[in-house]
Amino acid sequence: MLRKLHKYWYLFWKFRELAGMHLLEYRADFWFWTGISVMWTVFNYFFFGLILHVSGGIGSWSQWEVYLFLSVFTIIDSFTWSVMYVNMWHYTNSVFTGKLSHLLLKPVDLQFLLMTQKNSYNNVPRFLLGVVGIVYSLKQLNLSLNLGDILLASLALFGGMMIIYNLWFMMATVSFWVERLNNINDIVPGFRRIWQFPQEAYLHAGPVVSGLLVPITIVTTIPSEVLLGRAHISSWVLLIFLTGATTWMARLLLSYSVARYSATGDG
Amino acid sequence: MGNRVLAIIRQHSLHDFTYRGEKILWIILNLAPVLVMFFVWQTIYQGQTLIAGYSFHDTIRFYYLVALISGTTQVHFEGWRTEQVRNGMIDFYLLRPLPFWLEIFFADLARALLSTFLLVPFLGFTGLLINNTWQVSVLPSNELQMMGFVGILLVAYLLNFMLGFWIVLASFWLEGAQGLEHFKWISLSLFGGSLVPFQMLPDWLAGLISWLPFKYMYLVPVEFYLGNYQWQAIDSLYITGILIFMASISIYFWQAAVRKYSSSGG
Repeated sequence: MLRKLHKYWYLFWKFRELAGMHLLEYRADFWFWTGISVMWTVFNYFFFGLILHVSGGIGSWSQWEVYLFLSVFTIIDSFTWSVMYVNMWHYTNSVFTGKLSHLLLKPVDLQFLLMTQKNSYNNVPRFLLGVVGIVYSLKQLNLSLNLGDILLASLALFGGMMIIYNLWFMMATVSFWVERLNNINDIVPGFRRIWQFPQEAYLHAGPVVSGLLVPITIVTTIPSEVLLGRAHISSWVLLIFLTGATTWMARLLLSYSVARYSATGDG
Repeated sequence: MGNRVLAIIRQHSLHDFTYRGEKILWIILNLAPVLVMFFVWQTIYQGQTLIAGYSFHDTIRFYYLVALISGTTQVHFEGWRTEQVRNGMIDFYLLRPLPFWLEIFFADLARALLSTFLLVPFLGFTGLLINNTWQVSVLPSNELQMMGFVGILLVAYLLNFMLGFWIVLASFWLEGAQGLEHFKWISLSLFGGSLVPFQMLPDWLAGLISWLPFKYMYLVPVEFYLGNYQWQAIDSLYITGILIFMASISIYFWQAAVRKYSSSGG
């Protein structure tokens, strides 16, 4: 077991190293897309600035609490584009072209390969801007964090990202059944606006809409609430349940889909 | 000429129709953020009837119209056309008895017409939803206003096309021209007046927007539809001048681009 874990640990960092080598080879590309990513991040803060300029807050969330929330979203967004998008793009592409056969032959867990083998470093500044945003917002709110709070918030953030990643993975797995749907990987990021706002923003939307949207918003709401020191135990239960449930469902769907997979040639 | 144009429109319409599932998905993905904004603003408006002189109903209409305008006037050819140029895959277009830029225009027009056709039921459903949920009517007040609105949408589409074509032109010189598409989206959102209603913008941005031609892409059509904007002769003169200017720049750089272009292999 320990030997197996060591192998996966080694592979995980080997993939990161390869991505680093890719970065060094295409330096201009890296700087260009980093610039674009920073531009979008600044744009997001500006958009929220416009809303807060006239509203002063969203529901019971004050201006700086909303900025803290947006910073949490920014961190998640950096992983969305740097890790999730590139991996899911390669995943669906390998299904459409039949290149998945190569991955199936490797003595490594397929889901691990599909979810970790690619990444880019273009969104590192976006991540750092998110961290700076959190620190600055906390300062404005006169709040301080201890190590335990930071660990808990990181855990909640990880859980939230896992939920998004698992949902995306399930969506990408649909590519085993559908053709002519090249934008299948745009579905999850296309709905990002939902978790760009706190849960409370949807509480007046009626039972059906809020029932649908509120569970999704926990991915950003709970980490933000942990940072603000007001997370309830029920939120944690929901987060843990959804992380576990989506992980299990993603794995189940992959096993079922791979069983019916067929390809000829090498794509 | 007419037959060639019809052939391009037919060919691209058939291609796009083959990928209709993808098209419908794009429509849903474009509408989803707008629907989210309805609920967010509903929460923001709790306990107040006006924000910067704008009611909740006006805000709903604003975002609905932004979705309508985006869905009908935005162009999406920059990405794959720049790739064609960068990969040296436009040789055969240059040998055809129809200029490449006209090919781009009519191909995108075919896409825009199909997108609009597919968008109508979704917008109709959203309009009904809005009407049932918040008792907000999104219908125009009269036919004349509707016709004027369609005319402004055509202007918005032409402006969008020109900007998209400039990005394609840039790909003859710049390796990362594809990324300029992001710059275009941000600029249009910021200076077109599609982020929040005009009255809610800070003075410096509102002033800037009213000077720039991007306002004809969102701000003017929205305000015209809502009956808050009177189209005047100066608007026609200004926008004609802008379009002629943009077309002249495009022609100049297109000629330079064709002279610069080279490719080998297949």
